[in-house]
Amino acid sequence: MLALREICYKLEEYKTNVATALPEIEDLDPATKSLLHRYINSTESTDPSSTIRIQAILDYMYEKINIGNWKEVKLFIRKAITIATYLKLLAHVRFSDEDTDTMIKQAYKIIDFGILFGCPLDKQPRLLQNCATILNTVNIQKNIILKDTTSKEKNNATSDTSIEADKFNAIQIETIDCPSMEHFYKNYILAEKPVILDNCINHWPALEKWKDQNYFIKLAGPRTVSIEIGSKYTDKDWTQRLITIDEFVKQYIYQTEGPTGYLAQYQLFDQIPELKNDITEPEYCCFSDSNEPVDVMAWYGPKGTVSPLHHDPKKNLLTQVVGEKQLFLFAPADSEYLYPHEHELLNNTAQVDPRQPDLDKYPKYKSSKPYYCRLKPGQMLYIPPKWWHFVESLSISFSVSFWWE
Amino acid sequence: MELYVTGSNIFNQWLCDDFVINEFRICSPSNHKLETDGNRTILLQINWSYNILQINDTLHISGAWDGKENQFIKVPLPNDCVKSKEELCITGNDYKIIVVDKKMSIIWVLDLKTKEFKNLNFLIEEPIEDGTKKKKLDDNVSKVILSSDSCLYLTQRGYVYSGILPSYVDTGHCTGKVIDVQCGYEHFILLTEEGRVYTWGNGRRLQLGHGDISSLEIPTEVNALAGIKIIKISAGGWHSLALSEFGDVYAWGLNDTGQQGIKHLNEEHNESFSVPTLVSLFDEQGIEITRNVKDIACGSKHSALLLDDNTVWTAGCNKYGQLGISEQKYPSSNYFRNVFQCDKEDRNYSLICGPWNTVICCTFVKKS
Repeated sequence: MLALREICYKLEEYKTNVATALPEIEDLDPATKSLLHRYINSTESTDPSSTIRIQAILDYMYEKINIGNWKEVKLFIRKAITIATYLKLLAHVRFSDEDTDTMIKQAYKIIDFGILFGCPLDKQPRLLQNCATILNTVNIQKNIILKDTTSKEKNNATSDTSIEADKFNAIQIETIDCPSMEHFYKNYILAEKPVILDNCINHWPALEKWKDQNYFIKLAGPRTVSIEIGSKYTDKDWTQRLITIDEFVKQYIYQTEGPTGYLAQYQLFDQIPELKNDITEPEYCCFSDSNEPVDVMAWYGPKGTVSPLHHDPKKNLLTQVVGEKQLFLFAPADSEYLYPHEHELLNNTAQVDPRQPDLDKYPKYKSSKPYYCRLKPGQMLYIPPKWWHFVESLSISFSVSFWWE
Repeated sequence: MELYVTGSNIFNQWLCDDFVINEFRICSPSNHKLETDGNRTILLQINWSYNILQINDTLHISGAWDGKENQFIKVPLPNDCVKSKEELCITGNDYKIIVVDKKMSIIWVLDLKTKEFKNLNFLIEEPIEDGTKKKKLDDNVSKVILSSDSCLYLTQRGYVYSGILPSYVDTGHCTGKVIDVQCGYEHFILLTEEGRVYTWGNGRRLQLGHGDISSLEIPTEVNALAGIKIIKISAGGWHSLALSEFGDVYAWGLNDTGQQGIKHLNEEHNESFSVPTLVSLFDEQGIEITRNVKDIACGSKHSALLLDDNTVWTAGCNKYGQLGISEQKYPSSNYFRNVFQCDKEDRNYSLICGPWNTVICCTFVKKS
């Protein structure tokens, strides 16, 4: 365990590298830019009175990133957030008069704000993640849940997929055993056909480790993530919230009342690289039409999370690590039977609920051809681009999706 | 002119040391370094890092300038601008300052990074019937506002142009001549002589007041205010206020920090209102105040009201003291609180807000 003084020293070592990234915020407004330049290039930033200015820069840039569409926010503004976050962290670690536990937990909050709203500097892309890794060397008190948090695997065979599929008048999605690359490419990727792959991820440490919810608390309890609240994103009272993993597990994974909390479509593995050691990117993702890296997303929630019927533009390997999910899939040609929302923000989402289709409201649904599966731990489902899918968790569930083009 | 100032002083733009001013404090910028009797000082605009002041015919900046804070600088205007001796319209954002000569209709754009002026020609014109030719009108610029990435011009004849290089905004369908325009971070409001209010731009945070989150490309009348004669409008970052001829205030848009100031039975509640909603004011005992409001102003996430008894009321975000009360004790307020009483006789008071500031401008009443 490092002494706090060594932590400070290690964090400050990045300063010269961050200085080389300053040209990346060249287009920032001159007043803010000159403050950031001065603080990175001098010891002035470690003057406690500067912390209010650094906080003001973070608050003002946070207003800026809320203007317009998130995807169109200028990168130099988000890079300014990254740099200001780093400066705030240095001052916090050096001057905090709190006890070590509180100080370190607050330091993670500072870092995670920067990871969530900032963006990587070209010159030092993993700056904030590296700072978190340095802090990880300090042992702090973790609020472990005392009861047994290991997800129980159901041994009863009542949830037979074929029976369920019949119930919904659906076609059972084919399952194949760890196919060869060529076979998968030719018969599923090229044919744009969904399929379940068995026994492809048996070697993932995640299959065992992630059954224990305390594992996440131990590894990353004080880290802040963004979760979705409300059972589905088309609901009126749906909202998002920042929360620590520790609080999320306690308040939402084990809760049975109140709104559902779902860590959905979240870049958890960029933020907490240690979790990446528990999984590997499937080789099947190498059949790619672009050089873009594969998007790896976490989907972690209690029983009852729902992703309404929607489609995505990329190829998707949805990997079930913990718990079970049921899915309904429809081919892109079925769109007209599914009643997509008309609003531009929601037009990749359909109004029909395939579990209980309202045939009076959506009569054309009768002509659709649903595919159904229950995805079990260790299985991967290939969802071809543009295929409609509806997803519901049947237990506490952790899935990892791999999106690629 | 005297200013009572509260809020952010992060760039020492109020020429004092505290980074946060959390109670209304007198600040007389024209006393600073160059006071002579008879100076006419006007605070034109409050920005994130600097204020724009007009002292007689000169342009002054307080706050950040040329990589330093705590500056008070007379900005040299281009020669042709000084020579014209015409009245100027001045506005600025984090990147640029725009100076428009009202008569000549030339736009000088000062780049805050390079400190260089560039000029653009401003041809006041309106597309005529056939849509191809344009005719030039005899008209003067009466107002220009630059906010975030948007820019609006208003002329004396009531024409509206948007963009730094002005392009005509069709307001032909609006009832009455346009007499004011306001810019939020991503929405726009205009007011006509008839007292009608029109909004356009991004409506994702309910800031357009039409009851939904749709965006609008053309100015569209706010129906909930139809029949109410509005005399003043103000746009915050993502919210808006309107003042009626009877001294009533209506608020709509984002309410995440309570900037609409609408007191709710549940004190923690920050529900946003998608259509203009009447604001009620209450004293400390919870009794409703019936006095009239005479001025309104919005910051990025806060609002301020001036009543006819010269009391000032504020609501919304107070992280930098912009409400004029302790930011430690009240990080925000989701209803209007009476925070100040202007008590000098023979003065005129008015409000102006910056993103994180509230300022009361106090001028002597001219004796006739």
